[in-house]
Amino acid sequence: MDLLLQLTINGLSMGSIYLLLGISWGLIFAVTRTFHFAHGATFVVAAYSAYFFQQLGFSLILAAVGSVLAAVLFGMAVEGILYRYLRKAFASHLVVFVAAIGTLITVENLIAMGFGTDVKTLEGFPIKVIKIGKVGFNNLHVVMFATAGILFFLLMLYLHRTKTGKALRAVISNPEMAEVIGIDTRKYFLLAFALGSLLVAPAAFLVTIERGATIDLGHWAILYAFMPVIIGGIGSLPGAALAGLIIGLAESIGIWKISSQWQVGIAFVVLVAVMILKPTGLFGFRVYRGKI
Amino acid sequence: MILEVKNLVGGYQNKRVLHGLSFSMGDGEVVGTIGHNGAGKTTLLKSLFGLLPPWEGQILFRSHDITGRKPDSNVKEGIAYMPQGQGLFPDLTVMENLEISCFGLDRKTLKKRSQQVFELFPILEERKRQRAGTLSGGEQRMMSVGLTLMHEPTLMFLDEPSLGLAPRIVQLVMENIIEINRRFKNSILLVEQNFEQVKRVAGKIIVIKLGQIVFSGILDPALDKRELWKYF
Amino acid sequence: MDYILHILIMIAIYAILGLSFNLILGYTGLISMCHAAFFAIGAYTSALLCVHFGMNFLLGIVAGMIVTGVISLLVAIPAIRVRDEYLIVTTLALLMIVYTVLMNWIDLTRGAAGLSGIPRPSLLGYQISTPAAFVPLLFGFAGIVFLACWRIVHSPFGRVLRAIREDEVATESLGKNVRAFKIWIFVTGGALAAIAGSLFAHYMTYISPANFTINDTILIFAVIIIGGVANSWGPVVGAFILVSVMEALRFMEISPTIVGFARQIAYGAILILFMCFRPQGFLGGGPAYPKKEGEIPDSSARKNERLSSPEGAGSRVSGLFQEASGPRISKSLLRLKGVSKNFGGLKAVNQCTIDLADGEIVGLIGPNGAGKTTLFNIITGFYSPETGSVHFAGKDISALPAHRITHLGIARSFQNLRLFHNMTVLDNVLVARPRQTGENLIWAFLRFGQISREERENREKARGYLKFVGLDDKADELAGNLSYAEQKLLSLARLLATEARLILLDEPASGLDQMVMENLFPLVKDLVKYGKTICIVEHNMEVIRAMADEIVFLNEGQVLARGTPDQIMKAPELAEIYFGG
Repeated sequence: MDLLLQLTINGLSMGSIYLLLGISWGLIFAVTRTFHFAHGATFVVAAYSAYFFQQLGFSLILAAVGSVLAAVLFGMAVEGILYRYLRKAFASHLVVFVAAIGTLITVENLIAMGFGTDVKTLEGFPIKVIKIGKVGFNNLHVVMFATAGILFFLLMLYLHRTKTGKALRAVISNPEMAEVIGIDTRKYFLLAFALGSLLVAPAAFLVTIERGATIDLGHWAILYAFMPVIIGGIGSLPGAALAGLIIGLAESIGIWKISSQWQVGIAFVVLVAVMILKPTGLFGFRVYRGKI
Repeated sequence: MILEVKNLVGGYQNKRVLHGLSFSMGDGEVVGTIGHNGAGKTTLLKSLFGLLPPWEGQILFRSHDITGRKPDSNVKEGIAYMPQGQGLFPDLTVMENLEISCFGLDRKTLKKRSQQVFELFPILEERKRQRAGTLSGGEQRMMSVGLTLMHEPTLMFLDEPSLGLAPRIVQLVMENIIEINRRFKNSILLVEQNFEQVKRVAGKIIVIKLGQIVFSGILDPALDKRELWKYF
Repeated sequence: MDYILHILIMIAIYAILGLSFNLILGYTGLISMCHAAFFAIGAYTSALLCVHFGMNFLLGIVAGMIVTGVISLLVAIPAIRVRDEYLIVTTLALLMIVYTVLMNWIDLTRGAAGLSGIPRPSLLGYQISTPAAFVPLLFGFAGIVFLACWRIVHSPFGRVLRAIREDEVATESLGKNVRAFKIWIFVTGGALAAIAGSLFAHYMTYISPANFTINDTILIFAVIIIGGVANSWGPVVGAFILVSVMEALRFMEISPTIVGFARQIAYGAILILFMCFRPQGFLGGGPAYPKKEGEIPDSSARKNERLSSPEGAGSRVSGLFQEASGPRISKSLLRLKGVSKNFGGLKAVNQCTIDLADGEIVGLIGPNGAGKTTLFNIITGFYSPETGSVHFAGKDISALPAHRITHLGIARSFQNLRLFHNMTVLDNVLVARPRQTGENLIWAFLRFGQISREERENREKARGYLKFVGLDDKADELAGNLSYAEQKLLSLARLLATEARLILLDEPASGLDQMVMENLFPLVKDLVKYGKTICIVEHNMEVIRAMADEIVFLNEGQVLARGTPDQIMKAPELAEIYFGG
């Protein structure tokens, strides 16, 4: 029983990271319909700029702020320069996708060239182990869970309570109509990229504190950003959030019986199971299929 | 003249739909456009509103050339467009739909304008907090018409407001359109298949066939429906 | 010298990877991220079997292909179902899993340390160990793979793949099982990649998981993008350029780790730059920039709206329609009984019952939203009815998938035509031909004679159909370059090529001007003589009057009246409904 509780706590903390990855990518995809593979690059940029700012002598908090800023700027640059150009040229989905892959590996390797391939860690987080009975966890787990929860809550608040947030939902809901009532969709695409990048930065920051940053985290991040969105159902941000937690729990509780190296496999099984049993995703409210 | 269209040619991709249309609309006029599907009515509205770039010709709004101008500028200048089908945001509430549609205006104006819409369509006020996608077909159409009013347009393009509605509801929506025209003194270009309703609402009529205007002028109230088949 | 040979060998390996990936991504348009995983599975399977069981390397290659094929099949079945995004995510996950397995199943793969001592291959008693001996071996295999891909792409099977890339729905409507084609090509591409894996393992004699990361998948992307997506020679050119660049970087005076990064940056930059400035690659090929709605076409396409009239159609097409005119069925050919379909509470079709007699032309009219197109979609299997049944020639077809229904003899056109724009006019029609032996991937390699004979016949037939609609002089142009009126005629030719006996036309006259339209009427009317039954949805009453024997008036998803055009148009209550009361 204690073990199960322990695994649940571990699962929720990792699930919080997946939650952030899922909603950040899911928001961008819902608004812009761009398969933003370079989201992994944003993740790496955020992680390494946090490290960079700390090396410059900033405190952990300031490094976090710096990493968020860097991620937002990067995300907006990719949209504003690359995707916008391709969309103007009527590029197909494949073209956009390949350009995004190109961006991911270019950025990753530029960073690797500048920083080297060793694991970069962030110092200064006062890790404290909290023990309740036999269950032990640390305050970083709490911070992860709280960050994800608060950010998700704020995002929902933003989307439902503010003017620009509602405009974003309008673009998601009916892009043609948004144009008709005079919403400049290009601006909102940029906004979606800014927000999505803003949300992914804390995930990168926390992962860097917990296990350190390496270059190939970008691929890992992009996989765990897609999976919650597909499992939760394309178009549903709460779905993506919940799916993120579910993946985290499944992986963690799976360790009970399976060696921890096979975690990716557990997520994959969940993914395939959902694809077979409910192709629209757990909470997908629309089937996007080729229109006849 | 609020709108003058000169020799408009347009269409999609390589599909030429409009073969040189010319007509004009006076202030406060309601003009009905009829013609069978594929005749080019929707293409005409989209080209006028800037959703489709016209290939040739000129569009003058209050003597200003607005040919090919983007929708967002048109909206600000007081031109509104209600697309065919679902002209609203199904995942937003009724109130949010209204808010979004007068984007860029302050709270007071929003309140005033949404009050205007609620006066016209009291049912929408009752459903204020409901998701627009869950409204009935008639309510959704009223919502769409309401959204076009949020910028107090002087020129409105309405694409088949009666489409897919029960006869009773069609009556209602059309009365609303008459009321809008009476109250705001704006000009309305109406695309409709429902000829009886066009007769009730419009003073002038344009008949489009195969992308060309085959008749335009004052609507003869004695015109019988059965004679219309020749235009279809 | 050996160094140059090494480069040639690597070019051959990447060419094989590129060629196989081109089948999946280039020709079919499936975005897969796990080609490096297929490469890995092939390499490890062959290497392990040869190390542990002393298996001959040829058998190792075959085993690698089988294992890879099975794994790719297991992935493809759930992933190739609903949306393209699912395949991206699933294949990306598979790539990660294969990497994890290679790293962690230490007993089998020796993990990160890698597998060494892989035997050099021996063939016909010769031990192949020097690069000079490897070059012919590798080029031999690359040649075989090239020929295999060439054959696939240029067979009727490959034609269907290109059609799928262009428009899945249209391909399905022409009677092709789109999902099966996609799964077949995904598995084939995987198995061919496994060949490269095995060769790589036996050449290097040492492999480790580091050879098979996502970077390698991306490298394979770069190989086919540089050369030109969906171009037979593209992957070869791409492999040549990339491997050369890769090796050239080695000579620059920088540390090896930096070179590694520089390479990756170069690939990334190449991908971005090509996508922005030359998405079709060096050699050109696939449709990277399709035309979108709202794009202003060049004026030549616009002006050229008139077309030559297809006069004297019937006389020139003897033999074209013979197969279609089977024995007349005295009673109804198509029978809909109590069919309903709802869309979120809206009753699009409501308890609809219609009989179509063999050999008649029926016009389906009604106000907008009456459910006409929905009815077409139900008959052709794109929607399944919620209640009621659809019988065609006495057979219940309500539950059949769209491609099966087309096989039985119902074909439909689309309002927005859905032509395959980047294929030639002739290919558009050829795709539609039924019962092509060459659409079976295995027969494509075994029954050369039969297939080329069939192709000859089909070509002749296809030209016949084009002649029938008056497009025979445009056979080799791209469909996308035709004027709208010509495209419309092409869609009719494509429809007829399916040999369906019931033809559903969705707004055949919309967007055509008077002259073209008048040319179209006799064509359609003639079809009845050749044993076709036709149902037309049309809003232009002139068209209906000119063509239809009978009109079915639909309102709110139900049949309201049925009669001759004159009867319908004289009925005041119908005018009331059509034009409102």
